[in-house]
Amino acid sequence: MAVKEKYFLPLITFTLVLTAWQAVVSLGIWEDYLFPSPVAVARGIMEIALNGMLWEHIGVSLFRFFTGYLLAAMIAVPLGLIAGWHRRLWLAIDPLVQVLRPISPIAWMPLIALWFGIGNLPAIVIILLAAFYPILLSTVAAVKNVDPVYLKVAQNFGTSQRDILKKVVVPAAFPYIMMGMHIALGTAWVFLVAGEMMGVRSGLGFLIVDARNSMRTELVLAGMIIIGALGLTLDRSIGSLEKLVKRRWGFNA
Amino acid sequence: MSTRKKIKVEDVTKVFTNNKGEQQQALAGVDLTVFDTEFICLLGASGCGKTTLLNLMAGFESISSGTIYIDDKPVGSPQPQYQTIFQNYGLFPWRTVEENIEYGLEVQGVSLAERRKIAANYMEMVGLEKFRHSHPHQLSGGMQQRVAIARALAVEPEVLFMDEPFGALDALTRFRMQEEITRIWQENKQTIVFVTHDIDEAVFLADRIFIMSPYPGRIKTVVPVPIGRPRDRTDYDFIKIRDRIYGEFKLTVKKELDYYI
Repeated sequence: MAVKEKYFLPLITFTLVLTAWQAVVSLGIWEDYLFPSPVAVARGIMEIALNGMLWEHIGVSLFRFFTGYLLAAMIAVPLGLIAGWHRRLWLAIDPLVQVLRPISPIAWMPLIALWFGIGNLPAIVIILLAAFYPILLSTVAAVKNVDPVYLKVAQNFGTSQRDILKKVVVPAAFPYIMMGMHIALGTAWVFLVAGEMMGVRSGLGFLIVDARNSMRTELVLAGMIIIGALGLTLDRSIGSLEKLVKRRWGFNA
Repeated sequence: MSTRKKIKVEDVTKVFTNNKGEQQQALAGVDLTVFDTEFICLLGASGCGKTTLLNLMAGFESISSGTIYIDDKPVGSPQPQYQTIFQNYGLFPWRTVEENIEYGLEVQGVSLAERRKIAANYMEMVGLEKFRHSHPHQLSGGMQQRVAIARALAVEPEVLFMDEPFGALDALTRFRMQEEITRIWQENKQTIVFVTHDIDEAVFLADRIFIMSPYPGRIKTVVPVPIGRPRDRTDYDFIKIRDRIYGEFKLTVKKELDYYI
């Protein structure tokens, strides 16, 4: 029953939203190009799916996204482990992080364009910036919250400092690092469009900008919906990975 | 029990400074001696400093004044040959039962094949062979504590420090674990320092019971338990010693009350 509800109830929501959308369009207040109908959007998606453009854009976007996201993780996780472990280091850099963190990656765009020119790199850097802070902060918090009894046990068995980090702190912090990676994925995905709005001629962000320039508003909406759907898919995938890790680690959830 | 002194605590005090900067004396002038292969209990209400004393002996905290010797060497940092068992087990949840038990050996650089063999031996000792591939959270509290005991025993420690190890278990499981630790101790001949606030538990387990009193923590009385093992909780001698300890805590009902009944 619960499983059925999980799919059935959202289905009702989507049906209602689509119906309302179509109803508003049917009133005929706005021109088609200002307010395209769901049918036009579906046709638009079919069109770019069949001529292959859609898959190319998705492929390029996912490449840029994962490059930026994984680079962020590769820098933020080790940095967070070290900063979380060495209390004084974190005391020193925490204020700097807190100043930089609220600056939207979009504010960096002019400088990123100047420094990295055009092509994949600026988009990758935007994603990297967006994913970096959530991963860093959750890793630092994860290390700080490692149960002291694990450290006592490790110490009791004569574990060296390096091995304590490798054998105890990293695995103990791992589920929380996964949580941070999950949050960062959602945060960074939002900035995909921004990253692809300039200096590139491919990707889902470009698809939206390009469609607007040619007044194909149904393709703007198609791009938006695809970004949303892909975002949901990615979120669910990492969410189930996170759940798997937590079950392994014995979190009661 | 031999007459060789394994642990000597000499005039030990411990002062904590809380986050307001006030000093609180947790232990004042504690003296005690534990003989080799002896089983002692530190018994007292919360706040009497029994866990603090254990932590000092195990090397987890520093002494404010006085000295603690184990094997005639002053205690510094925690050592693998002196193992501590914690109330909340301290098992690594990401490792299986087998991998948890192997941890200490792994740190010492023992080969995998050898580790497996030793772990199998201790899994059998605590009756967990069937659960070697389980993760700690799949086990009951009593089973988890058995894993922690097996993990500590795997490095062949000379001393076991046990900090209310059965405090989180239900009464029946606790009884069974008390029997089990007695058997393990008789087989392996460690020196055991066991912290508890459970009077029955102390009488069941210990060769000698050190009763502690609070504010500041110190040792009030030492009660020897000259009863052979296995011990019977309903035995006359058992109850006599238990009643004496109840008396020490002023928990016995005053005899005058008989008059009114």
